[in-house]
Amino acid sequence: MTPNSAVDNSSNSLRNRVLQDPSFGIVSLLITVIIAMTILEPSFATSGNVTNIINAMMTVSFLAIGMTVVLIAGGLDLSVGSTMAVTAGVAGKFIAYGMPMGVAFMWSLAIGVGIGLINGLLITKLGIPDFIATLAMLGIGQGVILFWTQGVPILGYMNDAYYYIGGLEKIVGPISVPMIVVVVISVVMAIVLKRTKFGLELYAVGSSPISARNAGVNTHAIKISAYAISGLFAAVAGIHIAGRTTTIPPLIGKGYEISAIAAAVIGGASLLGGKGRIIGALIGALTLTLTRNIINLIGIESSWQAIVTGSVLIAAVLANRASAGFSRKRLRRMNT
Amino acid sequence: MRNQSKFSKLISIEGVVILTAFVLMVIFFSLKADSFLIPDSIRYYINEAVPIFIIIVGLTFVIIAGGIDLSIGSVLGLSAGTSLMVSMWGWPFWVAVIVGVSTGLAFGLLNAVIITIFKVNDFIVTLGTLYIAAGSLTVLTDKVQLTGTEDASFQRISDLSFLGLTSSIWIAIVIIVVFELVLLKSPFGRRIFATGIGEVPALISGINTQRTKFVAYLISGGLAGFGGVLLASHLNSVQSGLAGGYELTAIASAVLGGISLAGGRGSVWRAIVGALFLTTLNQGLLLMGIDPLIFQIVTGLCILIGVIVDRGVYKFTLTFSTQTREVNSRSRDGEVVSS
Amino acid sequence: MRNNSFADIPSSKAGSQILKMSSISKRFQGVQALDNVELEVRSGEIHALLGGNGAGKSTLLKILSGLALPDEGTISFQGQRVEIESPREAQELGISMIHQELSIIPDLSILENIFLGQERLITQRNSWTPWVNRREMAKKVREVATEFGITEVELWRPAGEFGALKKRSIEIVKALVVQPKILILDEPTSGLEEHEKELLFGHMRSLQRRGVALIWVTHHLDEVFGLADTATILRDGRSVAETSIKGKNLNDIISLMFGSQAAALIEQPRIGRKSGKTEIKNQFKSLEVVGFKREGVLKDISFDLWNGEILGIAGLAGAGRTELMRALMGIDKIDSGSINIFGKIEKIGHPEKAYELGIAMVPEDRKALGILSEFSIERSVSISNLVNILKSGWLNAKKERELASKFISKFSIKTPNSREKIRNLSGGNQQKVIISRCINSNPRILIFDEPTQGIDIASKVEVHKLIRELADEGKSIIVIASELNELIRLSDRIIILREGSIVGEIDSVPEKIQMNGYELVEQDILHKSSRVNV
Repeated sequence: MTPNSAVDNSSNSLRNRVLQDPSFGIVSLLITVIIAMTILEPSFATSGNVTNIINAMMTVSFLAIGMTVVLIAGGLDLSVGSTMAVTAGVAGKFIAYGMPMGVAFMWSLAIGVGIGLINGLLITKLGIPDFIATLAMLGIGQGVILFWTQGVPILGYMNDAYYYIGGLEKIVGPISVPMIVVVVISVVMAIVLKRTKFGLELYAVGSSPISARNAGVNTHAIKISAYAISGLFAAVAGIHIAGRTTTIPPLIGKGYEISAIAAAVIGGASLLGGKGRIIGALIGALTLTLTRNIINLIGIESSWQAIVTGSVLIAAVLANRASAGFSRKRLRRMNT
Repeated sequence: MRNQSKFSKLISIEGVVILTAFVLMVIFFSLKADSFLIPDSIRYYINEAVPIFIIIVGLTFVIIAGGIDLSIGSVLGLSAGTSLMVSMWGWPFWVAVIVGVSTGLAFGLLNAVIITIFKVNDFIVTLGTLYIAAGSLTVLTDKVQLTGTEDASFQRISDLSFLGLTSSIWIAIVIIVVFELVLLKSPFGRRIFATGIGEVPALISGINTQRTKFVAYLISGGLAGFGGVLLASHLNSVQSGLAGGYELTAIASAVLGGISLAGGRGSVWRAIVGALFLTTLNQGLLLMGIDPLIFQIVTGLCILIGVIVDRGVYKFTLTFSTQTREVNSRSRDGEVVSS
Repeated sequence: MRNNSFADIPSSKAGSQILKMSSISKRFQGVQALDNVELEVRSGEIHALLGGNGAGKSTLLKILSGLALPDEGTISFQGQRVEIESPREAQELGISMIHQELSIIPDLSILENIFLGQERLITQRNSWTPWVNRREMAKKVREVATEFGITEVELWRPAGEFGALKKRSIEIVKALVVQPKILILDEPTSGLEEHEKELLFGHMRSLQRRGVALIWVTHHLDEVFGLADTATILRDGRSVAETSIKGKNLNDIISLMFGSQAAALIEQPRIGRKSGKTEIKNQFKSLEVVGFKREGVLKDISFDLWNGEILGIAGLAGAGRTELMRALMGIDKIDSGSINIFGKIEKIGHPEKAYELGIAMVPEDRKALGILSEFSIERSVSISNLVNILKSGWLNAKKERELASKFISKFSIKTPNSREKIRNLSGGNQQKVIISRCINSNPRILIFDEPTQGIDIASKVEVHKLIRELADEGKSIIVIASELNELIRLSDRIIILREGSIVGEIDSVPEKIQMNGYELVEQDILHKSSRVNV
């Protein structure tokens, strides 16, 4: 596993690299929990349940990947949930109006990117703090979808192809289209982050915007791109969720930004910027989904979900902080 | 040294921009919307907004100290639930009040400990406690039907009429005045400002920044608890999801009032004016017959405009420094250089 | 004067003109930062850019490095008119800069920090590619990096893990690796140890021999002699002089920089004032620090402090001076050790306690650590002792104002009124406000960490006078200063730190100066502070 930031640690021994990996704590925890559940609860390790978990993971994964990119660049995107809702609505309504699916999807993606660009411009050119700008866009987006639907769920857009695209119909075995999309996006973004100049500049801008600017990086362009990517993936999530839920309730997407942030942070992204990775986003999404799944299985009422999610979030961040402290201590001992 | 023109001196007075905007808006609506200025309807929607005013007071302390508290809405909801429940069980109203406030304080304590002692990021922590509090309310309302207490004195906490205003509003006024005094005129309040401007310089000046922030989160939690009591008393019923989203309105109000999210400047009354602006705006639009579904869009736009204007004003007043000084910008780059 | 081992090597004759900045003017935040400034640099020349604080040096450099645009004026590079509109453009022209403030990106590896933004310049390939090849970069960068003490392993570690020294080296490597035509050095020796400074000077000379032009900003005037060929001096945003260094001495330069009165203001060393142990009436030990230990930073430090004395703490960057003071103030935790203050054993776990016990500190790095930027002068003064301005339990504005006025007049703080925000004041006046804040807390022990850092010479003199007066009043003073000049002039006694331990003490400084002369005292301190063995 590679470390959390742009740094390439290839000169370290394998054992050290595993131990010092920033996600070591959370992954060990996950493995322990999975083993425990497999033993204690028979219905956990069944293929049905596993597929369940993976399917439920999809939406948050898309959002978490986009959120990770924004966090790496030192920003924060609170609007992803409402962007997802708006783009889902666009896809559904346009298809229902008779537009070809591909074209409708193009519209969704374009709008997602557009919202991201607006966020980026508000934050870089107008100097509005990212928290506020994306919060405002969240409100505006939610308002738009509420107004457009007049509170009535969007229906009548599902067709055969969409069943596949939304993941309700599998292609072969348990593998569905969303899974493939997630894998492809993850691989592409991981390569971008690790091997391209753009990726390096994302980390630079998030880690120290002033120094990055001094080094000649176009910090504004980088940040705007990060938000555009976030918007794009929110649109992907929107297209996906429309296909998965088959109807679009007006309040869809509410609360998803929190899951996206939680997943990214659990996966090691830092709110201060300069740290984060794609695999971390997936680990975070898995953690959240697994938590929900386990709560259901062991019979705790779903009303406890929120409490558990909140506690998991805090616990994960505390664990991250503890492991960061350990590696710093180990390093100091190495250097003296 | 440049001499400040009268106009720029006027602009740089704290809160003058939002006040002007508020006044202009009121004038606009009283012309365009019927029944806007009717005292009864004003009293009504201000009364509805009291719980938000109360959590805004607490939030102001936290924001000025350099932090953020996202959990205030959900904590308010949960406290409404616990206090109503206790009242329904037959306990006297003052017990219900204590329970409600204690619920708030408990969450305030949780936030305070994890943020100041374990030094975890305040955004994440209060996001987590938001979830925990909201979830707890869901569990609670699942188990207990909070349909209303028969204890009239509990209900009267918010509904008692006095000199033409409800007790809710009076309580809000008292809380606003008292806490504003504390913020502006007490040593503790001064320490809050210092902590928000810069934890390190404040520390070196001899301020216990950890303790200061700790108390700020306690205050925020406690006030959220008290707001919950008032809300429960007013509605006399509590459901899951109550007060969800209140924290966004509170933050928006603070922003509109010109309180910087970075900390170190602001005051309670400015945030309250921001809140008045928002609630009045919504009320005005409603009375004009505009589809309520547009309100969120309007609120969002208001936040954006508010921030842009505030930044513009701030930057404008900075050009009048007496000697060449670069703006003291915050960055994580500020490190202590060892010698 | 510094014994510069490179003084013997003759500098090569400067070549043709490579840069000419003409009639450069810039207005910045309502003030004329630069007014018709001229700068002419030849290739192969080491050109010092001198001037006091606020003289305009930083602004001029910003313009040259592409971070700002001039309002008026032209820049001519290698004979051609250019407009430098971004740092990237500056780099492509061949202008590299080493900043005064560290420009390191902590989450990126040292290697990435070095090549960020200039991959093309390093590989000298003109085709654009989105890919980053770290191994190739490492190959190109390795040699220069090793020269500056960055090992292969360290290249791959996040830069944030390292201290100020290594970070400065990274910046230097970053600038050198693109083989610039003009290299701008803005206070490059800050944070470097003696032998590293010599290394740097050696590199400057070899760059010079290769024909690179160096523009060098420094306030260590003694470094300039023996290294620089020419100096351009700025004062209040105007070019005051351009002169060759040969044949000038320190006083000439100071007169040009600050006006002829300034040269006369350089005070005499603290002569006639015996060390605290013998001369003062009612001698007592105000502070006894025993066995301060903090892993990796402080190694069993013990020292005493007496009332009425000024104790200087010498040592290089990284020796632990500030850490020691921070431990004393309770800002940092110590692993073990005790404090005996005015006869009582105390534990200081927090600065709040330190102030309660009567210790106050004026920190280094005003901007980041010292001032609360939003506060007015009034509030800045009162903050360490709010009890002072209370009336029936509430803060009283009138008392606060009177308190501030008292200090404004006592210390001649230049400001239109006491409500002015502290960030609007000049460095010297800001420092006076911070000192006021400390004195307002009624301390018996005062710590000054780099008390005259970044302030103009007139204020420097005032601050020194202030410190001596405080000592005369009977207070105990600890001073940390990197300029040995300053330290020796101020202190009665000096302890020398190296790598977290006390390696020497110079008792009765004034007497030693009288007997042996200033230089010998300075040599003694330098030898003990550095790793070079006597």
